[in-house]
Amino acid sequence: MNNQIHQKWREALNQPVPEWDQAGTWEKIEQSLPQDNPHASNSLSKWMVLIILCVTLWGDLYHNKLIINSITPNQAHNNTDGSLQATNTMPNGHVQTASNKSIKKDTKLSVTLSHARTQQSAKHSTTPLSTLPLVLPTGEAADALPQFDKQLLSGSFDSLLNLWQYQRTSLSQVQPFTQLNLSELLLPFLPTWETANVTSTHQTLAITVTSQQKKRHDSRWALIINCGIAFTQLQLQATDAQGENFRLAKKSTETTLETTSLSGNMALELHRNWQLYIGVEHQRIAHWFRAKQVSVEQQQIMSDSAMFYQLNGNTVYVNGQVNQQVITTETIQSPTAFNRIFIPLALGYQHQRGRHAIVVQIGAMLNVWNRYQGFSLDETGQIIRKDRQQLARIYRKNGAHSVRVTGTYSYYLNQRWQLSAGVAAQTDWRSVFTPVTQLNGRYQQLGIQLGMNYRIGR
Amino acid sequence: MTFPLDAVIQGCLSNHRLAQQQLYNQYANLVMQVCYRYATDIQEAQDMVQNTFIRVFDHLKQFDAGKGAFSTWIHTIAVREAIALKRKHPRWNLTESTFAQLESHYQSDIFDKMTVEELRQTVAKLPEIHRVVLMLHYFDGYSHEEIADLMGIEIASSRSRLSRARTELQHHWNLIHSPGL
Repeated sequence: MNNQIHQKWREALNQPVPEWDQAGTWEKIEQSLPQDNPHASNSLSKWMVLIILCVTLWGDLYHNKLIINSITPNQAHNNTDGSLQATNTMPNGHVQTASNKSIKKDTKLSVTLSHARTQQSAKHSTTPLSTLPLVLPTGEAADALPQFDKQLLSGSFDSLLNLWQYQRTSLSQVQPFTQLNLSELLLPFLPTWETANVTSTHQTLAITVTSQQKKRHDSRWALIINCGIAFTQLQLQATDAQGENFRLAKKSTETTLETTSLSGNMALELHRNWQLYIGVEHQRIAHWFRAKQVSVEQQQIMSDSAMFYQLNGNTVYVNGQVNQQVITTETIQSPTAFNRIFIPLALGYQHQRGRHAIVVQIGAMLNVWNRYQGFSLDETGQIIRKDRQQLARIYRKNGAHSVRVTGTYSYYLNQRWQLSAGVAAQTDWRSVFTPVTQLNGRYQQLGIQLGMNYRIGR
Repeated sequence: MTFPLDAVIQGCLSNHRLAQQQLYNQYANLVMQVCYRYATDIQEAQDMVQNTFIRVFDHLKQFDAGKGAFSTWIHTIAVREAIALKRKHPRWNLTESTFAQLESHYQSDIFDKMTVEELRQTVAKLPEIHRVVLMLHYFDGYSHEEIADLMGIEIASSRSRLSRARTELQHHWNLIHSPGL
């Protein structure tokens, strides 16, 4: 009854709140609060930002150092007309020349890049910038040229040189085996790189207009060497009662340790960001085998009171031999190894931004060879040394294929070399045991991979 | 986006402005609902909300999650701040003689006979000081000891005010249902 009265009161007194100035009230509250504590903000995020900033700056400095080293001071000189010219001979035979004639106001500012192998002339017909449609690069072009701005277009020699340097490194990484034409920065972007003339007065810029699209989608190969370490778990399942006992015995004796792997892959870039991987990989799964083998046998031993009999009311003892049960316990502790060779067949998707790339791969690991070295239990619970008794093939079969998903971060050191680090998860698709064992066993791995990639151009 | 309350409270304890604003956004409407019941108008309710949150941020260290939910804790503060603001109002400085004028000879309990709508209309006609006591007792469930503590009056005064409020309600109800009127 009392509850009903209270409920009625609640219904009667609970009146809806009209519109009110929530934001204005907060402003008043905020004025009454003490000053915000900047140190209380997410310090971890700030540290992360600081670290990223330092790494980025270091990367830029390192990158610029490479560029500056490639253009030595004695190769940069002033021309007689007051312009500055720098010439660089790259190790691969490219001759790159950058010159600035805009110091003298009525002369042309030009950056000329030539290819020594093809001996192509750096001179092309030029068009003033004012006559070209000013279309800033978008999409892939914008990603590749974040520094492309008005300052670079109309700036001094240094800024243009920076632009050139950036293109030389960044674009060549995006499409290292294609050619850059600067005109395509303003037209629909096609990253080509061979020769380009940038001609400008002190306020206008002219860009060579040529078209070279033939190598846009050229495939290329990369050799990839990876090594990794993973934490592995062997999941055992029995197929019947006897197998269950066997499973329990194996589980109590074998402890899976880590997995080490070494792989060599070939990556074929199919189309744009898609890549196909094939190679060979060796994996070694380490186990620790601990087992006690108990043997029972009859032995004849000497006994002081082996026999006795009653003779004329006296007990006569006779020394002799008796059969006695002897229990021998043999404890085996041994590291064992399970070696497997796979042929990885994977499809990868790469997202690249400047020197950084993320690659996600998914694929099958075709198991072609297995070998187990060390001790194990047979189905009767006896300890056997498989490698000596040539029994390994009974317990671990070939064709225990796996499925693997990998996420890898790659850093481009230069056009050819990349460093990569990633995370991989792998699980066996089929049991590694033969039906004789009456066990289903699959290794499940989660680990890291470190690698080095070397790209080969066709 | 709603953030975990623990994280928001930790941010508030560190005087993080964004966390304070997040806490305000999460509980402003709840506090307003409490305050508006005690306020004369929306402006006064907003002042109550303002005082409530200033008090919340000042005393957040005292909140113990093991003793109850945060919403309960902030509800209590909202009621206290609402009453505190009301006590500053001149109309609250009523003397016992003022209440004596409201004394009525109707003592029977007629709440069972009232509908919710009639109760709402009748409560709206009550003097504010009576309405507040009614809400503290019947809506927020405070005892007379707690009401006395909140309002700074004696326990006996709390009982008498509630009794007068009920009497006055009955009076209004009789006026409504009087056939001669």
